[in-house]
Amino acid sequence: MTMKKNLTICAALLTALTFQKAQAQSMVDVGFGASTMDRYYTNLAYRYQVNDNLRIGLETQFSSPKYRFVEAKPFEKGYATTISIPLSFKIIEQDRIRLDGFVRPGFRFQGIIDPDNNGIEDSLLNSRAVLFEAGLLVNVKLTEKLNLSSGILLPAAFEIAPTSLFEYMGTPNFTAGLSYLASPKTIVFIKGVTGPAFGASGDTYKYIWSVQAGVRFAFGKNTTTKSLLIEPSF
Amino acid sequence: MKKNIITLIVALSATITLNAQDNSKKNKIGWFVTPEIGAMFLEDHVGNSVGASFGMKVWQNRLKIGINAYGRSGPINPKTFTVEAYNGQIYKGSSTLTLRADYGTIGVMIAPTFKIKNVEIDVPISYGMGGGGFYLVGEDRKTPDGARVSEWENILMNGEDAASGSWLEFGVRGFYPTKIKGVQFGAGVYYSMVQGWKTYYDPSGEFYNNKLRASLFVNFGSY
Repeated sequence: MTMKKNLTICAALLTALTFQKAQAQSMVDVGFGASTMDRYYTNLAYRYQVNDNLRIGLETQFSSPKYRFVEAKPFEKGYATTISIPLSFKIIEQDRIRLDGFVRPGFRFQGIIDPDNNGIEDSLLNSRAVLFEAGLLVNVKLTEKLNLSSGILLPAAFEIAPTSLFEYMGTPNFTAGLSYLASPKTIVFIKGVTGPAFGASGDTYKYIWSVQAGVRFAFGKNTTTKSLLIEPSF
Repeated sequence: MKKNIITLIVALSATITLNAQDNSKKNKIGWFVTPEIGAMFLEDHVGNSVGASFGMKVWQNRLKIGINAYGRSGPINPKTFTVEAYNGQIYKGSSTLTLRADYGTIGVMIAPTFKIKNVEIDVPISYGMGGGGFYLVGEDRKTPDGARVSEWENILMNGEDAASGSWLEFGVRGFYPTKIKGVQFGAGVYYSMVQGWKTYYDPSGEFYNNKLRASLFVNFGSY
């Protein structure tokens, strides 16, 4: 079931990439990282730069859980997959500094292997959650090839199955990142999110962090300094 | 369907573009985003916090209006506190509980702003809510009966493991310019109060009340 979901997500991303318009700026990000929640994870994102002011995308993450929750109880052994739609839009730009609004609705599938903890991996407890992030992103053009990003982010998760609860919310989290134009069509980046959190009567996260490094491949138009703008992700 | 989605994207994009251009021309209302790290000078230790303020600048950058929030989370504060469980109850073989503390604030902020030479000074006054409490830590979070740890915390601390209250803070911050316009480094000191926040560990409610706080920050904003 999980494999089927993962394949569907990959197929959707590849389809989006295949049908991109050659004259538009499209990007594919591949990232690897670790976080409070995961020993390691992989992010794959397709981003479409509609114009200088608006960017939309489709992003998925596959994780190896370290400290995640189902029904507000922690688990270490299982799976976690998210799919989300990041959207950023320019609010204002002044010389080298630019302010963007950011929202990311998403959906998370995760599950515990061996939920009865009897040592036999014969069952799976699946969980689903709705995710939502909102934030303000600041990008500073340090040079023509190097961009500093920062900002604030309010991530939130609401578990909808097997039970309904407000899992966590960041209050607020701080984001930071650097992106560098390594070749005309390739950008390397490193980014992180960190900050306090609360939720589920204090049963879940009290502090969250995530660090990710990756590569962005640009398609279509030549890359511009706008291509260096990076979105935060867990 | 495809046509509708494209129309929606184009309309949204056009609106944002027009607004951005309009704002850029007038620039009557500015903006700021200020992430910070902080130190809270509490009774017998210094607490670490992470937070941010953000909002808009008005009156030709002489007044900031926005949101101010920070959190003193347990995982970045290893200090523990011990207390006897309510009514002599035993948890995992002991009646003494070892706890960590977490706390967070969020509120509206106004900050009159002025300049002394090239250093910007503001006087942030924040009012809102402060909330937090004391919680079981480490292996104690794995409950003996599989129940949620908050259920045990409620029982062991008579339902008073956490609370919230009204929060008021005022301070002064200095912003030092960098080579990049719109980016400043700075530091601030504050006096923080929280009223009505009482917990089982601290029935006096003085743990975070009438305390000093300091912060280091990077400020991004219009100029």
